[in-house]
Amino acid sequence: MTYQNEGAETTGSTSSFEVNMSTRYKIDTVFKYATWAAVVVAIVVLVVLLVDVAVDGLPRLSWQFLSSMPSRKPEEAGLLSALVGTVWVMILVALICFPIGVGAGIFLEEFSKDTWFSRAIEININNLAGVPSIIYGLLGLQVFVRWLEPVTGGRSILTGAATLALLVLPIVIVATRESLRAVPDSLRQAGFALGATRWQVVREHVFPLALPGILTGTILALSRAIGETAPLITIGALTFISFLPPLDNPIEGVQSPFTVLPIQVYNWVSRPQAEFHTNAAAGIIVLMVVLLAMNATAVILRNKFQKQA
Amino acid sequence: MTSTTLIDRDRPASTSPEVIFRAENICVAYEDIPVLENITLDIYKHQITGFIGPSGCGKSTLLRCFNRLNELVRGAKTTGTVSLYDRDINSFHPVEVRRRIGMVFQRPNPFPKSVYDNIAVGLRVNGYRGDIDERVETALRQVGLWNEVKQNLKKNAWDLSGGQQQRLCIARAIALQPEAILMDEPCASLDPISSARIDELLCEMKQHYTIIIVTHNLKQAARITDRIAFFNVEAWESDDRLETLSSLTHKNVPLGYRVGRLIEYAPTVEIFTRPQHQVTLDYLSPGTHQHSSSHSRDRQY
Repeated sequence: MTYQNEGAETTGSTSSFEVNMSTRYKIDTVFKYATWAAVVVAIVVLVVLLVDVAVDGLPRLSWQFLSSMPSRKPEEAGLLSALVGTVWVMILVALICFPIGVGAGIFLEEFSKDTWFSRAIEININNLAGVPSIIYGLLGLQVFVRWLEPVTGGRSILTGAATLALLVLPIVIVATRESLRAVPDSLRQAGFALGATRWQVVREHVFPLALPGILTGTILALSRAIGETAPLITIGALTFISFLPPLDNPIEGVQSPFTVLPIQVYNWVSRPQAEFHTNAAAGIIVLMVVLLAMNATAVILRNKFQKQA
Repeated sequence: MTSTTLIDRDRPASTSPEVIFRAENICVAYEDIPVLENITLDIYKHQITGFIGPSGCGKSTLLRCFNRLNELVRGAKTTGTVSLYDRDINSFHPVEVRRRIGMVFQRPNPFPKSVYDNIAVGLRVNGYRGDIDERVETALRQVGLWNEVKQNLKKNAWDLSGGQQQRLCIARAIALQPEAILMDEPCASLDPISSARIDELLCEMKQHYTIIIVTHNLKQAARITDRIAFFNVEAWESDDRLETLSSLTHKNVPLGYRVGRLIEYAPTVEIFTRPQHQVTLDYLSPGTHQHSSSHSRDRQY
């Protein structure tokens, strides 16, 4: 690098500060372009992927594709059952992991004492966030499919949702704790000084301020859950479903077998016929639209709460 | 919360001072490091008591002992007793103590809610059943904020000026009609005009409330307080001092370690005209390093 040579030239100066602005400006510029290059690499890869998928899949997208069951004939096949399965599973995952994750986060951050036990729990939760998803699949297979079969109905929507909820729970807990920690302590003290109990301080002052951050964390967690395939294959989500869970009876609904979009896509990609690969590309587009719609909903919710706070 | 604590504040101040708080042998340590040693003093009802002294001498720490807010600080440990009307405050539920003893902090800390809600929330969490609107208005009038905010009570409190925020925090505290108000440098982050307005307010409030105020502003202390407690940071000189803290800390704190002590506690006039200790005189003597802590620290008396 040239700036090192330039730096050596000025060491003889009498001043104890080496001014040498041009070198510092150069480093500044180099760093700016280095970070810019990093952004470009990331964006280009993403754009290439999106364009490739769009070119393959867009022509295949049609109402017929969205409203048909899977089929042996690629031109008749659709992903209705997978789409409906994904929506069911995501709603259930949100319903399970939000209260449990946020509750655990609030307890650990606001209520628990600083003991070796709480520190051990904290370390374990952080580790859980890094456990491979297939392990959660094995856990779900044993606990939800086998032990809790009378409740979950075996390889059902409920089993899948519970497994995915476990998988993303650490993310929600960590995000909750981070956003609670960001709430200034002066507000808690103000609340306590007015004679509020811990619960009242959390409910009135801390939680409303932390909610936007908690929602952001939950969005991230759900975005991870919607793309997971491995744990669902492990618990035995089917790849060929030609019926929908009954809507009129929710209990029976959550206990019925299911498939989700990533599994359907995976299934199509592994077929030899090229037409099924086109279906897979179209399926990926649908998956991304569902994901974006979900995130958009959460962002709107978050902005709404942010305004109120 | 019992409604018996909502006693009538409007009766006239009694002439003979009655003791409201009695602190006995208060020692406090943070993370095994002692900061305050053997503080014993009485606080009188319907008076303004000032805590003065250099930074780090434990004034704020002592103040927080009176409403048990120190308990919430991680690693804080307190020994000794504080009594409220001759009853140990540790025998109360902390929530009841804090409901009966209000607090105003050094930096204004209104909730990020409307002006109205800032006051109403304290009433609501304590199960107030009366007319909340009326109580909010009274509190805002008492701190002289009503005319400034009455058009827009829905305004977010964070959009008020610093002085207004601090007066809102005082209004929030007095809306609960506490028996005493603890103030931790309430004017530290305010301009002279807002500060003077708060001084006036405190003098008016004295008729109904007991106030303990920590301040670095000696003029303010001289102007508004009835009694002053002067604290200083001093080094340990002998081992017998360490014994008093043996219950407080596991660490072997070295000799020469600095800890906060109560030097003098007397009526304000006495403190300013006839201080009993040289360090007090040094701290109070005008013009010579009034706010410097190192000056008075290094002297021995």
